Amino acid sequence: MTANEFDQALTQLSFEQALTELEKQVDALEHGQLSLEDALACFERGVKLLRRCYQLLERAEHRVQELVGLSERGEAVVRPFSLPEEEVPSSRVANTASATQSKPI
Amino acid sequence: MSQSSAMLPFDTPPPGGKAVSALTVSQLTALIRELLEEAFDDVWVCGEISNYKEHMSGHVYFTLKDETAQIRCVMWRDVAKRLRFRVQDGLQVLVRGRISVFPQRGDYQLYIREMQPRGLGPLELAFRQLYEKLQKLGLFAAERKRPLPRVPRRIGIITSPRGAVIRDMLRILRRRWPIAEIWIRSVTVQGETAPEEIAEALSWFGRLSGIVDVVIVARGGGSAEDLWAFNEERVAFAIRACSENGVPVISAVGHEVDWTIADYVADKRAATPSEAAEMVVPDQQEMRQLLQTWRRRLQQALCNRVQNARRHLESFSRHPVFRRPLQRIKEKVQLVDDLGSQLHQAMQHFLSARKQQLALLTGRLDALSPLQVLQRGYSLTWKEGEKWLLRSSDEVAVGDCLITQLARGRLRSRVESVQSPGDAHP
Repeated sequence: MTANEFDQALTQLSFEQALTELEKQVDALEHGQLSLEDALACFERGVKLLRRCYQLLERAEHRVQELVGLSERGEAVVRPFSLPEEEVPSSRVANTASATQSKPI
Repeated sequence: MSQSSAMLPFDTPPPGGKAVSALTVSQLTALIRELLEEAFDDVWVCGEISNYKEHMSGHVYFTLKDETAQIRCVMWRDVAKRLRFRVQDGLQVLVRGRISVFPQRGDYQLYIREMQPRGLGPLELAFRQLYEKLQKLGLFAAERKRPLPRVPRRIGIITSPRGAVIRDMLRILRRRWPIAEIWIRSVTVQGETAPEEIAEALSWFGRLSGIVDVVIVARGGGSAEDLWAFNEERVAFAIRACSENGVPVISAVGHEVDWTIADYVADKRAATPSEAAEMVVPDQQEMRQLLQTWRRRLQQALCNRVQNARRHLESFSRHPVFRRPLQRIKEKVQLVDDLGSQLHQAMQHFLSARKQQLALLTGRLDALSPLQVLQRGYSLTWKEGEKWLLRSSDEVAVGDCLITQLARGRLRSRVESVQSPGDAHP
């Protein structure tokens, strides 16, 4: 995989995938018999993966949806979830999930 | 076999009277056995266990007693093995079996086919029955458990939207791992419709495999009756199906002490809904620390690799070749220079030697030139029309025309006379 392809794939990685990949790079760098060039490439990939992980961490928004049902094509139909009125202790949960209409994904 | 009237003592004449056929002990015992077996083919008996003894064969013998009576009991190995609880002296039980007679000892015994601890309600019994059924079907097998995702992107929660349970779970999930999206399916968690609603929600999430990474089925604490939906067969099968579709299920029903069928079937059991929320996601603080650790390890590993390379390089550079690289080159240049001047000299030598040789040869060549000879007064003579020089008077006859080449000019002359070579010089 070239550096470009790697950068492309990186943006699609889930946190778990990035984490697993990062673990591999750390392991390869620590235990692999890498040439200096490969070690540098490995390090570079590791740094990029770390960046991806942090990026996902910072982007967190805690979305809470309600699964209304499945569409005819088997797709989920969801809408923002809010706790029943009488039980909302703070408005934070309700706020994060107040914007969008119900939509299939 | 005798008629039954023959057994009645008051019909029996005194000894020595009219001859009546007497029963053998075996016959009598057989009759008793027949009567008892017919009358007590399937009875429930409650009592306390004493003299409990388990034989090597696996068969179990004990006495069931109350304050005033006791009865010997036998439980064959296959029955004993099926019991889920431990049997011991003093245990109050409810047993089901048949009465029969052990002829060799003349004992009647209760042959037990079922045993329950006393005080079990119908729910517990149903639980036990379903538990055994599902276990036989292998629904609890450890190898069927699907591992939970390490970091789920989307988490399904099946629970009631009311009450503290969902609130607590959302609070914990937001604190630990706000990155994950939560999809809640609101259901009734107790009452008539609960099993169906829960099973339906599970089938939906099962069909969202790849979109939803894990599902939590949750309910807060309550009575055995309240939690009953989670002991229903259809819920158990729905959990298994959801997991087999690729979405692992965590059951989080009631408190620590409450075990439901759902807990056994699920891929993972959480003692409480809050614990489920804790276990389903990593903690972001811990994750940041882990990432930090890995960042350091990456850097350290690269540093080590570079250090390693540097040491390698240094060990090379200690070699004389690399220690004074210019000198080496200078030496080479000098060598080239030396060789160059040697070559030059050699060329010079070669050339002058050749020149001398050339001059010498030229001199020799000059000396051999016939023109030089002619200069000294010699001449060359050949017959006219021939190509070769005359060397003997035999080669010509009187009257031949001869051509003579002198150093300067030619002569044409005719032979007047010929003197043979043997004759004296003119």
